[in-house]
Amino acid sequence: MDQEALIQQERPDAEGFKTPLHQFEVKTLVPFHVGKYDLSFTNASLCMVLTVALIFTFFLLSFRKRRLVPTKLQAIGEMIYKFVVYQLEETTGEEGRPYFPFVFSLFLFILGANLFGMVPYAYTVTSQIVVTFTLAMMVFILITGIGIIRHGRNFITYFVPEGVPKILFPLIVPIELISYLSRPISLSIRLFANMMAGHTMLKVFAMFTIVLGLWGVAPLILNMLLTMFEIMVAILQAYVFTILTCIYLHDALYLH
Amino acid sequence: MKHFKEEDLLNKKIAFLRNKARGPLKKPQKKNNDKKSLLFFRVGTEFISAIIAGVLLGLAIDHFCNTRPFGVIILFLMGSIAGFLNILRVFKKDIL
Repeated sequence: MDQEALIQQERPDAEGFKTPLHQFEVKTLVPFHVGKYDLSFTNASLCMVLTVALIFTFFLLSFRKRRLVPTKLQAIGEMIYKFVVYQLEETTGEEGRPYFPFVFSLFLFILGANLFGMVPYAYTVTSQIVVTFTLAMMVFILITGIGIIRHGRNFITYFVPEGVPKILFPLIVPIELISYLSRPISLSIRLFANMMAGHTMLKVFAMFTIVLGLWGVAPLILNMLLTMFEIMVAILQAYVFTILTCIYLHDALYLH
Repeated sequence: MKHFKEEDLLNKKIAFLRNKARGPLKKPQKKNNDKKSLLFFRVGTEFISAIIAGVLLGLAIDHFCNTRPFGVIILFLMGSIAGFLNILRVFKKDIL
């Protein structure tokens, strides 16, 4: 980053100076190019692979001995499973049950990626808008596909609320369309902004701690509280993403 | 061999019709009816993302129809209206 090079030039005694946004830099570990596309294995890819491996081994270990009276690890796995099943069945009922693997994987991936970013020196994958936009577009395309395949021509009646006089249709339908198209944008921006802002704040307070010397105890305590808050936000954002997916699934299955 | 296949098809047809005769499954009510504090996470981003969606749609329409400033302006306004609609939908359970 050239900001750091500038600082190095001006003040040669400031070694290892990093801006707060340096933590979001994507470094290629294994370069891999296909034609003109850069498909390298980056530190973000490494963190995603580690997240999936962590989730996989957790569930593998917790359901190894399938006891009727669960062990402690199995109880945690069952609680996570029941939590997502409850959310899905409460919003979509029986017809949404086939989509449970997708919703469960989504919840676990976002939860794992968010919590993995709280580990020091680990890369927060969901703080990149590319990643969150991909997840949101997957959900959006799935929901639209389900709606169109299930309801066919009646899909258009979703954009027309009941009890609207026919004159207002050219005004209401584009507005409803924009509100529908804003769903993937809102899903992705919520997750991305929460993660990026949280981690930037952590880094800024950490820089204050170093600069203030002995009085750095105050930003340090604030950083501790902020880390607790960030862990709560990480879990909450995964929950909000999942519950919104369930609500949009209800829209796709029923109210069209 | 042939009559095995027919029996299979018949069984499948019986199961399908039985499923259909069960009628549509009960449609559950929507919206998170447990925690109210989670709604506040959604309010800000839904408003802003509706405006962003409107502006992007306006830029796309301008790009294809050469209506240079008007598409973006009209769709920006419609996007902000859609943003208000989004905020309304976050809090009301049954409004469409």
